[in-house]
Amino acid sequence: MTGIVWIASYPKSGSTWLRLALESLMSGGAPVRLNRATQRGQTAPNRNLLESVLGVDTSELLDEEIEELRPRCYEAIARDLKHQVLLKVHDARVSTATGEPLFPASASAGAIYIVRDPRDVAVSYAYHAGIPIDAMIARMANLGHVADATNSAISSQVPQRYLSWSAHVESWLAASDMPVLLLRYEDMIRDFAAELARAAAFLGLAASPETIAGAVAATRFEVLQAAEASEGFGERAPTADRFFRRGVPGGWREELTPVQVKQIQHDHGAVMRRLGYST
Amino acid sequence: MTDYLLCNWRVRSQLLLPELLAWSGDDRAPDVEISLGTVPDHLDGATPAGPLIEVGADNTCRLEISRVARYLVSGGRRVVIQPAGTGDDAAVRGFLLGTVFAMLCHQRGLYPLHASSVRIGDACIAMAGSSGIGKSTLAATLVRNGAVLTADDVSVVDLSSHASPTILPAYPQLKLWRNSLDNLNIAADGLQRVRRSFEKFAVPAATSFKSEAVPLAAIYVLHEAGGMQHATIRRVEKLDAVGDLVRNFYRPRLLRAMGRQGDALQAALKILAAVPLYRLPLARSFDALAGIAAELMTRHGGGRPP
Repeated sequence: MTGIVWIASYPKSGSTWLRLALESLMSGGAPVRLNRATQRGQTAPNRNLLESVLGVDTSELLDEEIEELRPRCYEAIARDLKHQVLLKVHDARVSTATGEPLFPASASAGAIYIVRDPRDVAVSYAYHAGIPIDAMIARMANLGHVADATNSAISSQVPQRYLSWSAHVESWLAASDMPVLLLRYEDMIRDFAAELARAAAFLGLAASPETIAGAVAATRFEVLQAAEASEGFGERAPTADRFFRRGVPGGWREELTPVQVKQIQHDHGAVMRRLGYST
Repeated sequence: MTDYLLCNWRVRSQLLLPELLAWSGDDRAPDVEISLGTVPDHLDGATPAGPLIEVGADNTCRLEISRVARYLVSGGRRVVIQPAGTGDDAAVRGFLLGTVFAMLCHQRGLYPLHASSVRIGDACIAMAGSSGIGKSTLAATLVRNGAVLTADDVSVVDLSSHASPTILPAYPQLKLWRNSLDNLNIAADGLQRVRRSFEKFAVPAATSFKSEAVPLAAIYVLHEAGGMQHATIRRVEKLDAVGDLVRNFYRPRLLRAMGRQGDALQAALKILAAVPLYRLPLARSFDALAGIAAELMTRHGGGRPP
């Protein structure tokens, strides 16, 4: 399977965990190193990745110019590939102003889309972003939300349209121009070996039970927490004191008020039920 | 038409270029001519270098940003610009003094780095790295500490002399986002925006700017510090250094399309034989940046309290 495989999810849904496990798998089940230099460019909106194709400074391009050029960049990247490459992405699967998909089928081998109960996402993402849970609930309902929007400074990623949590999920599951594998964070917690085996099969990766076991062991939550404590982790936001924080499904019960729960279920109930989350 | 100074070139331009100093050197013929005119839709038999750039025969380059302008760059001496007519003159100049400038350098056998550089004492340091990492803000902080700007964003390495590598100063301007301006207590009023709607500004830095080539004393490759508690500057050598340096030429894909990867590799080896390369972790905080600036000033003999 050559081309780009998008490891896609709304933030805080387990895509980093999956990415680390897949990297371990591709190294025969080896321990993970959190800050390998090659990892940093492996996200779809990374400025350096896009500039390596464009040859111009993206910080002087308008948001709409960047968005129109991203499909061309991904096509150029895919053309150079002899095998597949994984690119992590939190963008919703949107279309550019000219009506074409941001993630073109011609450049794509497929996508693995990971979902997580939005009640747990709200808690985790609020912590990561350093904002109150109510503000995060509002953000998750906001169709117009743009991450890394260019205001008085730029970040290492170009602006990304997230849409709302529900619209984000629906946009990726609606993809009919590439194969999409859906994984649920809660299933990964329950039986990561099985979910990792599904991902490996989807990617056409040979993975013996030993290799899978190695990748599962290398990415156990306590192992990742310890690694972060000793070497740091580039994905930790400046607003959070840790990236690998808690991760327990259903932890929202201890952190959300009944009013907050009701709001999330009001905003996202249809998609939650579609995915099998009880409301 | 006014003649300007860019690197050590006499530049004749139909476009006003307020970023550049006026030419005050000898009465030689212009080294580079910039005119307004028509640029063809495509170069015959060209190799694309990404969606915006084509490289044709003799390494003639065509760059197009559809809402800004088309540029045709040839022989290291001719630039034809066809503005898109959106009236964003600052943007037309921005890409001229960035990517087009780098194309002229490649055509002239020079080696542009994606780096900001400053002179501390008698030598230069270059700070390379991805867009948004903090090269310009670090350079501005060093200037605040007494360094002199030699280039922002495109730092030209000249290997033509038998002595060690030098930097050819480009033009005395930094581009800074509002957050950086605020932190440096520089007022944005009166400053030109680099692109109409952006909170990114062109900041003149002409104090003490001199156009003579300066020996290159060190290259620092900036990268995000992530969560590292004790992020230190560390020397990088051999293959790692070559990789770091080649990745930070302006720009690797352009070099490949111009058939210059071999030259670039040779150049990197020659540079690294004389110039140490370091990885510099930079946390996303202005305090960290101020600390790094002070350390760099001390390392390069310019240390005095800010």
